[in-house]
Amino acid sequence: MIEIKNLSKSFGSHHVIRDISLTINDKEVVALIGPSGTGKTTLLRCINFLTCGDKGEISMGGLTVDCRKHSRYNLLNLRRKSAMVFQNYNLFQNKTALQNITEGLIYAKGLKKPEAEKRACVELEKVGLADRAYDYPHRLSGGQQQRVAIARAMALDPEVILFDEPTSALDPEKVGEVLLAIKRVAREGITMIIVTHELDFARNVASRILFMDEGIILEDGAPDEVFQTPKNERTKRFMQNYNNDFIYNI
Amino acid sequence: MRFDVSYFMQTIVRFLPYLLIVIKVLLYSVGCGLILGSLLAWAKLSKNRVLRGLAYAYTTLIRCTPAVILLLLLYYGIPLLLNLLLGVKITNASKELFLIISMALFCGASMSEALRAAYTAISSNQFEAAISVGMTDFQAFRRVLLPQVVFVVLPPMANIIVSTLKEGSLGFTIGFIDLIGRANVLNGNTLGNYLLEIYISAALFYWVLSGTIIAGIRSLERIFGKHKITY
Repeated sequence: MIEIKNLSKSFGSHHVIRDISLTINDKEVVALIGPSGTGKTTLLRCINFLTCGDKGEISMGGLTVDCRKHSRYNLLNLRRKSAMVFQNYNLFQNKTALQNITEGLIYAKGLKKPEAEKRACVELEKVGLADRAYDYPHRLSGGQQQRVAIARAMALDPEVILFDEPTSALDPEKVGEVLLAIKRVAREGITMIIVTHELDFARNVASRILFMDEGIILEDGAPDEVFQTPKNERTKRFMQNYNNDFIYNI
Repeated sequence: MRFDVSYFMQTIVRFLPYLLIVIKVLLYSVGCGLILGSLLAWAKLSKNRVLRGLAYAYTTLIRCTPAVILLLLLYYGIPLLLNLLLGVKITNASKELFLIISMALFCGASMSEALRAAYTAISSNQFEAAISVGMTDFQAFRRVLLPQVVFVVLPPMANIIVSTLKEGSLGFTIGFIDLIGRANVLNGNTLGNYLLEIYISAALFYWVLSGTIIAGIRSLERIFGKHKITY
């Protein structure tokens, strides 16, 4: 279970997150949607402290960390309970696909190298990249890199995987293969929080949708609820655009 | 005027032992310079304003000082200063030590800039990715950032090492006898009759040494750049 309590964050005078409290249960697949620049990514990054909130608490797997006073040790432990998939893949450029996965297993989880490699191979197999294990990231396509990143996150066996717009940097053709990989993760019953603009995908894969605007969670519910009968005016307007079929007259 | 090949060959043989001195000075200067440069780069990248300011001030000052002046100031100035302030008399200061110190001071300044630039060239995303898989800050630096920094820093590093080698030849200004010092003595003894033979053979040593350094760094680039090579 992940608990966020009274989380706030501002950059200068810009309040990005306004006092958000949120509980996410085990095995939930949460899609975080909303307009750009409303704090979705920041909220995600606050959960594993890549961005440190101004105030509030994050609890994960029995560990509670206060944004205002936290030790290096607590941060490390919190990060070891979570994994992240980034918008720009962020694979270690100097490591092969396989090493990208084993690195965390060896240095954070303390696995022996052969064990780590075995584990990494299994995960690569799952995302369909077993044959690219010894390629460096720059030799892989964007979609392949993102699939390695997903395998890297999965291998760590975390409490939660945080997805930060995992398909935004990909062309439409590659989006499909990455979404498929994420879907497979969802089926394994791992808790996931996904920031995404792929509304169809969110609706399809998520068990719960959060709609965020101006640093506040406006809507929180099952996909059908949020997409078909949103309660909030802002959500309604956002969904209208989504539900409308555009007709272009040329 | 003619070029005496046999004298030229003799000089090369005569200079050989002095090559060791040049290499020794170079190794010490670059070694100390690398340590100093790393510390300075760390200071420049730190959040502490005072530390940053000091590091930049040092680099600017050193980069704007001609090497000869620094060497002369250190060699003649420091004993004078010590005598004045503490009453210590240094009569037999090691010329080699002072040459190494001033070369290291120079080398450190340039290295710190090269290291800083290389470090900033590596995206902060790499660090974030490393800590997000649960590495400590140090592990992230050691395993992910440093190997990438090394690859980026190697080409400027070759420049710095080669120019340190060549600036090391200024040792003769304080009377240090290395390759150039020996060449000067020889040239004086032969009244300039073998000037070409002497200085070309001295230059030959520097060419070979510089070439070796450059080739060495090129092969290091291949080792650290495995991830950048396209087939």
